[in-house]
Amino acid sequence: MLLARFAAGDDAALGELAGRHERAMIGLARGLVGGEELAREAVQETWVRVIRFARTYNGRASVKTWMYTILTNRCRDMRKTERARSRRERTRRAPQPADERAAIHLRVAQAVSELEEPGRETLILCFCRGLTHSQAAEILGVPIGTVKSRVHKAMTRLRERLGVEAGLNAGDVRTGEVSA
Amino acid sequence: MNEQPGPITQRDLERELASMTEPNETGTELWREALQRARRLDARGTRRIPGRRLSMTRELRPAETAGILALVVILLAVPLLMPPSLGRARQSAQSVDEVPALRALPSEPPADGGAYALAGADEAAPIGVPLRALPGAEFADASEPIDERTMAARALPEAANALMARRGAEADAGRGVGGQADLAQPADRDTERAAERLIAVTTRVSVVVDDAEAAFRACEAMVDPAGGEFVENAALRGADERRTGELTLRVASERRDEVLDAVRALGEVIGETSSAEDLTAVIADAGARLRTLRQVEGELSGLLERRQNDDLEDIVAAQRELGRTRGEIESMEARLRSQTLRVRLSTIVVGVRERAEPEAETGPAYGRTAAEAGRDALTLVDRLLYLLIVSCPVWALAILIWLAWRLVRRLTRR
Repeated sequence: MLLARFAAGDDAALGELAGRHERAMIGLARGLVGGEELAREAVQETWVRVIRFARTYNGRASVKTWMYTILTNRCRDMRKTERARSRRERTRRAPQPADERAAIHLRVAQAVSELEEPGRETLILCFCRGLTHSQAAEILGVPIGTVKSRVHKAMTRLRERLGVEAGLNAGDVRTGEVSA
Repeated sequence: MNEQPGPITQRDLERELASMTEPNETGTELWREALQRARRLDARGTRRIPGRRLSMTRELRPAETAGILALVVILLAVPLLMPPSLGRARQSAQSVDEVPALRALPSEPPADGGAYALAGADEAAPIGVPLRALPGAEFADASEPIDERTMAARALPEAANALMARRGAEADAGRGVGGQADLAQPADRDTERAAERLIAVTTRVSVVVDDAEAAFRACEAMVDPAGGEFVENAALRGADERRTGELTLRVASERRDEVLDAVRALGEVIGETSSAEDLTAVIADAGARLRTLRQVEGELSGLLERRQNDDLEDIVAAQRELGRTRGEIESMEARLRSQTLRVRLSTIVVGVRERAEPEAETGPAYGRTAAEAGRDALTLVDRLLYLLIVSCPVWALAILIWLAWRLVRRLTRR
């Protein structure tokens, strides 16, 4: 409805839509492209496309799924062209970890960035707060079984690289709802 | 000394994965910047940037697509609605056998006499209708010649009246086909039906020849003056190229096919038509009338000789009548000669047209082909220009509609 109102000429509807989703979109983009600046750029370009194609939105998917699909595609394109720059940015942004937690964060981030596509992308989407597996499957345009398979493989790879302690339920892939 | 990194648990892993996509704590209003940027892009509109794809505003909407398709359909339909264009239709050659008039004749003549009218001779005469049934026909009843009635209506001496009454009675009993001696037609009606009918055939042939003058000379040489054949008229027109002309040949009916074959051999036949007129009844009646007139003439002459001592007034009246009868005889003889000649000598009208001079074969054939292709290309351009001009109103209307629609869209968006 907000998108339809905006397409009809109500700019305030776009603001309301952005208020609902922009922060989460920036977070997702950050996870996909690996940098804050690139994430903001990706989100802004996503908004540009949403604004220009608002009239062509056919309603087959939800507005959220539609916008997140645009964002994911944009992040994918940016990652292809900005991969080296993102790596340098993360290196610069990642000074010597001050504490153990920061060190863990850095190791996981580095391991995730080294995962192969499309497993990495699928993993990020599935751990994004507010996205379910079915929504992730719709955004990626693949069956939900494929999503689960990719996530399983990616997690297995991560555990191998990070030396995750054995004994834990490695097959338990949660949605983005992670307790603090 | 570097510390060994601590073990990462599954819980740590999941926590870190979730934190990678943690939403921002505060809004950044990126959407506002995006909105301004999008508006700028829209304002740039259809400007084409070399080397890049067209901007998104150039993407066709369904309505635009429908409008373009409608235009294409209209432009394709205009040539189909245009009147027939170029090219001349050639007349199909018809042989005498294909003349509908002759083919439509019944195999048997009318049971009660008379004759059939043929199409071509008289448009008012439907094929197969006995002449005597035709309204306004000169010979309404072949068994009752008009000359008898005409003569009976005149004021004549009593002997002439008695003579005419007797002739009328003889006419009611039926008469045979008479006429000039050279026709030699049998008098009996049954024999008349079985005999060859007196048909006057006129054939028109159009030929394209290389040399019109040579064709003319050839046609003139086809007639046999000793057999009474002749060239009725000849006219050649044109000074330099593409001369045309027409000859009318009168040839013996039995030589008609032979002469037609020779005419066809002169060049390329582009048209041939034939018409036939059955003059059997016409000639028969003319002959009968002539016979009657001659008998009347003889009787009147005899009367004058025998009654020399009668009143002057009666003598003068008889002489006047004799003179008039002789005049009618001469007129009837001329008419009969003409009709008979039409039957004896078929009419062949030859239309001659010179073929356009072929281009000199001085160079390779492809030179001529290129010239022809060039002419065809010019013709095509001419036709396209014509199509463009003809469809101008459609184009103008379509452009107006498109401009109006874009204006409405912009006003709506604002």
